[in-house]
Amino acid sequence: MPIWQNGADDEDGIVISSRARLARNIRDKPFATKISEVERDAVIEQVLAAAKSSSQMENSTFYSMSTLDGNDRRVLVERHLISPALADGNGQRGVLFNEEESLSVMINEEDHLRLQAIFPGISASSAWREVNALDDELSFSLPYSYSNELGFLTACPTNTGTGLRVSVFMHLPGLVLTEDMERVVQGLSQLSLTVRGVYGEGSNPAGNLFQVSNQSTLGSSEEKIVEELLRVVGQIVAYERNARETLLEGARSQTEDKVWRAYGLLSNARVLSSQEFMNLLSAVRLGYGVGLIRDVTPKFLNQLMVITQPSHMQAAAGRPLEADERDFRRAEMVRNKFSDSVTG
Amino acid sequence: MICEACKEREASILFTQILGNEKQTLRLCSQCSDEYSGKSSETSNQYKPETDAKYKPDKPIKSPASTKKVGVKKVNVVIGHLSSSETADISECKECGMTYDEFRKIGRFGCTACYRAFAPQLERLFLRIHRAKRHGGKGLQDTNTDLHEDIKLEELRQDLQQAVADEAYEKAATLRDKIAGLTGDSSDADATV
Repeated sequence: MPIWQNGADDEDGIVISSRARLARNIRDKPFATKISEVERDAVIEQVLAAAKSSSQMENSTFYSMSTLDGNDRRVLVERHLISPALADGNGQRGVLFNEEESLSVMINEEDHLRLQAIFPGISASSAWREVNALDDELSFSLPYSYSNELGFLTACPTNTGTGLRVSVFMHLPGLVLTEDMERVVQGLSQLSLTVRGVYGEGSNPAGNLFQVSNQSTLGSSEEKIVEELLRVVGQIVAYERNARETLLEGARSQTEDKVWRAYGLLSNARVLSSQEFMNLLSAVRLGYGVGLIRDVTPKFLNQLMVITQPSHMQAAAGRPLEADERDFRRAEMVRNKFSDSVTG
Repeated sequence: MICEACKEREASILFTQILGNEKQTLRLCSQCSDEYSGKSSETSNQYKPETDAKYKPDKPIKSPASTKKVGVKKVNVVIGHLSSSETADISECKECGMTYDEFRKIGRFGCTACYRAFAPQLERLFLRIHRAKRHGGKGLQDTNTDLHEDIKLEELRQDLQQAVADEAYEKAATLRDKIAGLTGDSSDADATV
């Protein structure tokens, strides 16, 4: 299981995981829109050779997208190892990742390389340090596309400069329930930061899971980008805690009822759609965060969130599953896990 | 847009001519621009629009007599490149063949050299996207000097434009010489690591 699922250090589980990714290109190869198949192969070869000599990617695994079927590619998306764009793209492309699944390199996505580090909790600084160290190692053998004035040259001008996108995945049910999320979203856009739903768009996505990222990649140092994001994430955490206090003070019995009903449904339901499951999981996670429920952990909830996704379920079944069958199997899987967690 | 001097080629350069207290901005092709800027200097009298058969702007600077006055300051400088809407399809990356129009449509560069080919249009784009135009992050020891120099050139041109706007003519002349030095020495050989 990916290390990011291990759960946050903080008691209230507001921050689920943090990711840092760097966009890099090889100078003498055309970018994705103009590259030939032969050049795509050459990029993969070059990156794999460079990664071999990297201490961080010594024991890594490479998956070529052309050798995986559609479902296996979606499994990698659900584990946050690759982007949907790599899964659904064209031409020779692939991903290289380490044993812990904390460090990965997508090859021939929008950029020749997308280096990514993902860790549990508020760990944007560690994620940046890890991905930066890998970047330094790779830069010895890969002739990066770079200029002193504009920094790292990327396929899309929105990544030019540092090529760094830092994202923090947050669980914000308090702000959604108190209807303050809209205000937070608006405030963030003023700060060159973006917030979007991890599962679905808008200010009320499935599972109340949000991703907060830096928008600008040019002008500031990487450390400053991380620092600024962490400062704002700290503020959002404080707002979320306030919202939770408001809920418990103003509507304690309703909040407790919502949490325990969700717990009851997850432990007993016979059919669970993905959307319903995510929302119930959010209520249980909130229950853990405010100290109402103690027999579940963030690690347990995070793992459940991944293994109940469509492609993971189909991979486990070894065959395609219709939506109805998935909903039935999902409920069964969740029920068993809850039963194990209580008895175990 | 057609060059206001030769009336034949596409204009790609914004060219400012300052004659005494008068200032005129022209849209020129690169050949005409080279011709005029190469001859420009303070108190030069080589540039004589009234005797230049090719030069037929709609509204030429009047008072040709002023060019004959001794000591009248005269500066001809390229102050920038025309915006994307004015140049439309003339910017094209020689490496990958991507045009600026194509870049605007798909929002993706075709290769490293596109950054060089579209440099004049990019500064505004980066300011809009990032509210910045210079890299402030980690460096790379071994860099592509060709690209570096081309972007440096673009910055010198911007400084020159500012110097002209500020009427700092001595500074403008120094910058112009620096630009001439860079363009004179530049080669397009692709450096690889």
